[in-house]
Amino acid sequence: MIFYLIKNYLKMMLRSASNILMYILAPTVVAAVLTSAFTTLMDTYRAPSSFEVGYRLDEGSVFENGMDTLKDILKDKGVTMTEFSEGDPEELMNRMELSAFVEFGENEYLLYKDRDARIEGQTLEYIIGEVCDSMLPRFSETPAIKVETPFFVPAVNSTDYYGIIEIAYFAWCSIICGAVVFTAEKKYRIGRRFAMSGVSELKLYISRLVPIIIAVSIGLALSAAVGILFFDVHWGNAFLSALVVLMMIFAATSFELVIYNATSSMVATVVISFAVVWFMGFFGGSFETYMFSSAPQILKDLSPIYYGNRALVELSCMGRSDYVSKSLIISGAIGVVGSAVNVGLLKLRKGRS
Amino acid sequence: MDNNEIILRTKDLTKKYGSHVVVDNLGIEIRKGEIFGLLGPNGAGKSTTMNMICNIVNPTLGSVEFMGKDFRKNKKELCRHLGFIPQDLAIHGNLKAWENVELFTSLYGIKGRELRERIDESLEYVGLSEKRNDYAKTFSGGMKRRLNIACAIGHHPDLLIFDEPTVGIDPQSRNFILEKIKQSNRNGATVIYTSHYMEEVEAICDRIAIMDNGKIIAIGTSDELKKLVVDDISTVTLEEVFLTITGKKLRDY
Repeated sequence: MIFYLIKNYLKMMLRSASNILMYILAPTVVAAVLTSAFTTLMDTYRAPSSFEVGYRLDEGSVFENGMDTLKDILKDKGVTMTEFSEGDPEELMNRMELSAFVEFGENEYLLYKDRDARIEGQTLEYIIGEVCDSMLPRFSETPAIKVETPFFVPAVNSTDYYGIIEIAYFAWCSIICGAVVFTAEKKYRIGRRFAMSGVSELKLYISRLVPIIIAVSIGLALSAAVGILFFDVHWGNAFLSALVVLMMIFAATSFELVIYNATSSMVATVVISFAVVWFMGFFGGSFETYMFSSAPQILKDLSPIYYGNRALVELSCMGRSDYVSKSLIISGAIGVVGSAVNVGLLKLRKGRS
Repeated sequence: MDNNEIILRTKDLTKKYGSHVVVDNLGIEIRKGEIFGLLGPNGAGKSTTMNMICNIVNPTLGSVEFMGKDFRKNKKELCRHLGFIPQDLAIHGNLKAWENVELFTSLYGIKGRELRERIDESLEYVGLSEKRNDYAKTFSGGMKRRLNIACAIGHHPDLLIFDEPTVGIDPQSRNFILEKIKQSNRNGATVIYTSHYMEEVEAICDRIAIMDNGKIIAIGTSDELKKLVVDDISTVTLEEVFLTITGKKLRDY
């Protein structure tokens, strides 16, 4: 029974022109607009995954005690520090193919950047600046320097960032996909056929949930393919990225079906869902980047979209992300709790008129 | 009357919305194999009664006994013996005719080859075989009404409930639908039929109940109802009987 329900609902969703517009064209257009608007900003912060830097440490420098820690931190971020006690920095950079060179003086440091490695130089400057700001008051202290890992800028450009993020954002707008079915069911009171057939609330819920997830996944996969083929968007680990997006669609569909089953109004559902998702997306980095947004960290932490966005972007630029498991757990929890609420709401409404 | 002949019985069926009583202690018995007409002015409680019989709306009080069993307690077992053709065109315009029948027939657990046969049979029955691959949204009003019926008969119900199935269609389609209702009845199905077209009800129904203010106020054959009003039944129509019994005052002003 469920198979035929899912199959026919899916057909209706895939035949809808509004769904093609919403899940294939809209993410592509929005990503293209945002990419274009924020290209310069993102390029400023783009950094490669690893590069080599030379340095010289003057005797009696305030940086002396903290140097090992600084090197460890930079090593973690893919920056190899090699010491050169002699030689001209520019000549060493040319000869040793170094991306940058740092001279740590008594109370200051001098950074040499390679014109051809501008992004590496800026990244190094950013990281050293962040580290020194947090360490400098204690540099002269001995014996140990405790340093928190500084914020590191992922190496991502605007094309990749928005090409990925907008797919995730539209995954959270999944209820539109079901609107074509639910609106017709309400208009023509088709629900009465289900009510008198004795179909269980769980089956009814699954028959609505699954086709939406499949249809939205197909639409967004095509949109992602357009991004890859025509805009050169780079996704990271394909399997993990797909899993993160899939779980986000599950969470979104479940959450938005709760609103629909509670209000029985598609208009109210779309307004409430989109308002909630827009705010979550705003703080979660769907419009301005999550790395440099002005939103407080607490608001980012409260947005489920933030975890998915960050996981996908880090998978793209670093190939791994600690946020993958967080995103999967949060999306899964929303989806499961939402599903239980949905079945409960359907049972509650049964027989009421 | 032999109890075995009763396919559906309502006992003290009542529906209240707040203090407003829509159906008031309704007790009707539908005999197996008959076509039973339910008439009433707008707001009489016909649709609410139908919805309670079909388990779409829970009664405030009372029960529905279907095929000798309490319907609510045995819903899973009994629902497959009931077919409801709603007044609204409860079909999906973005599905083809056969897909609509597949969707609604599969709700009763029919699948695979049997389902395909039932789809063919249902579409053949309502004369839409040649239009099976057309989208329902391209159909005329009469064709949609016929598809609406096809979606409710695929699971071979013993009791068919038609809620004003001929509203807004041309005489040819109406005649076709009425003929199909009679054919279903000849094939063994019991039928409950509501309509505002008195001549239709008189033409096809074995017994007729007139409902008003949530109660059955008259029940019997067409001739028996006419005798309630005049001695010479040839001088009066069913519509005149209906207006005499329920009054001429507008109900939905």
